[in-house]
Amino acid sequence: MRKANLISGLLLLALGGYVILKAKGFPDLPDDTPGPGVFPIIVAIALIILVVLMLLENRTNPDTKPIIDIKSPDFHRAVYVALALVVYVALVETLGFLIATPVGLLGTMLLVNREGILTKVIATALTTAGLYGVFQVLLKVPLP
Amino acid sequence: MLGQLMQGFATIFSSPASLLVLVLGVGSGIMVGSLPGLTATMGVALLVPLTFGMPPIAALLMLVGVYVGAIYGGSISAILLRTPGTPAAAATILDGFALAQQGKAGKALATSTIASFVGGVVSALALTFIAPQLATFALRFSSPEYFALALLGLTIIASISGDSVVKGLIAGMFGLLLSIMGMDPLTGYARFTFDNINLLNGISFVPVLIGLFAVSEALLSVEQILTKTTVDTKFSSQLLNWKEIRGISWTSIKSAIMGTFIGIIPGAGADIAAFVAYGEAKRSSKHPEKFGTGILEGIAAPEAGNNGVTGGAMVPLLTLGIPGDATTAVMLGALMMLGMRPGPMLFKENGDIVYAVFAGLLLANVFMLLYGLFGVKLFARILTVPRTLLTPIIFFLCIVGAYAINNSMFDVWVMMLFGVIGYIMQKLKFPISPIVLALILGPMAEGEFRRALMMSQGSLSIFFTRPISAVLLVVTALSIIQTVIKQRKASKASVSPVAE
Repeated sequence: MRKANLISGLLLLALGGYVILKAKGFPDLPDDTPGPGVFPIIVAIALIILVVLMLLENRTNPDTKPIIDIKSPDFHRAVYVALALVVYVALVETLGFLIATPVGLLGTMLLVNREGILTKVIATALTTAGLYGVFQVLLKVPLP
Repeated sequence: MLGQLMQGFATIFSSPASLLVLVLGVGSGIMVGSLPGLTATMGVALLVPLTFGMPPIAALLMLVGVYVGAIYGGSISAILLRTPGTPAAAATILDGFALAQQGKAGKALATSTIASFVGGVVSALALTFIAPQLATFALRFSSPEYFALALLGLTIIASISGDSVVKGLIAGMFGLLLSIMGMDPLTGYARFTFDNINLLNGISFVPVLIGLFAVSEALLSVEQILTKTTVDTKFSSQLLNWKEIRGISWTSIKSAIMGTFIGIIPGAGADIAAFVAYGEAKRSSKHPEKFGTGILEGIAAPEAGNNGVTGGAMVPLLTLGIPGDATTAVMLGALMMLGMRPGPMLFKENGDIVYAVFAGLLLANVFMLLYGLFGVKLFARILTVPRTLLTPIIFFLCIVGAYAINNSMFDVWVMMLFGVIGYIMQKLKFPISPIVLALILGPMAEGEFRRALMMSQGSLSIFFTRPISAVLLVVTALSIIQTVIKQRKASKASVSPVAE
């Protein structure tokens, strides 16, 4: 956790710095009324102060274990599922909802585990039909 | 006021579709709430996109139904699985699971149902009678007051930050930075849009929400998905006898009132209410030693308390546009998506909708009672649906939901990105709710601050010379001081055992 806090803290400091640099270039307003850059600068300064506080606290953080065990099969499963979803989102408009969804959903279920394939096929068919029926037919809300 | 409430009932009953949506909302809420890992907030976030095709009243009734159902549903798994379906049901485990182990799961569930009903009805009545008065008062507000109010709302972040206030505030600042993206509402200047046309109107609220609350949770759940749980669905449904009902009645009413007031305080949600109500019931009991061993009062107190929050949390939501807890923050986003601006004007401009919501909240509790008394075995069965099927389905529901908002794949990518951000944040123990609160209150705080300064030609004195604004700022300062003192006490308490 200590190392993860440090990395996230440094990234947030960079974000704060970037916002201040960018917002300084926003136009000023006449009179003394604050322009579009004032609020972002105030928030970014507050963010930087808080991150510094967090990093100071973190120096004595007794928890030195990593927050993610990158070798664990559980983490691998989450990554594979996330990647499968990225592929689905990238392809759904090209393939169409009624083709991409059953393939994507069944694929994701099988990535999770391989047991009960028939149940998974039925669940996939019912979910695709349910989503299509409720969103597209019943509520007239468009699908990808 | 009663006349308007009756009008609200008439509006709902005149539209069978609205009534059906409410019934379905409560049912889906109980289902979502009963499944561990799916919180009330996630349930509302997941179902928001479903409401886009509905008329405003039906949409709101659905969300109200889900909220009420989910808070109650959490108790089902707390009693049967010893795992709270929602954080709000954590206190219910103490006596609920003890009773289930004695073979009295049916009694425990019946107690939870009746107490939740009492909690919900008391809070719905409180909402009906308190909210319009507060809204009338809030009509006097102008920019300085709204700024002070938004600032007060932002101090809630400290109280919903969990273990680390600093991390909560960092999450809040991150949310405020996100709220800045898009065209500046006062000058039209494009801020942090990276020349992307999709970002000109700012970052879409609902995809961020679905990503942070639903996708991140589902990703975490994928990691633990192969852990099997067994549920005993063979318990017998048992109704309470008259003596038992009398035994829990005072505890239920008292806890309901406490829950309602805790709900009205922005930032204090159903989980806090449940523990406070449990603590008070134990403190004032003639037999405090029996709490935790499986007594009905030990279930009635937290369940009436947490459902008491539902109506209470909607008071600041509807009257001031400030959410009472994380779930109402999501509902606020949904209201905005539906083209409504919660706040005192809502009562003037959409009075019919507001009173239909009040009536809907009362009805939602009646449906919850019916579901609980007659359908609880069915919901217990849902707990046996394997997570290996359910979690992938949730992912696809999230994708479809995020797309439905603007028919835009860009929103889906935003949702995915925030799913990963939410996952990493949870691993890093950063709370997520502050981002949502800041996203909602950020534009209000900035816009009203600048408008107020335009009114005063740049003089900050405008915030202190107007009485309501000054009082709100003092309350804000007191709220911050109280949080700092609490935090210091808590850190001293956690340090002293080590020192000893």
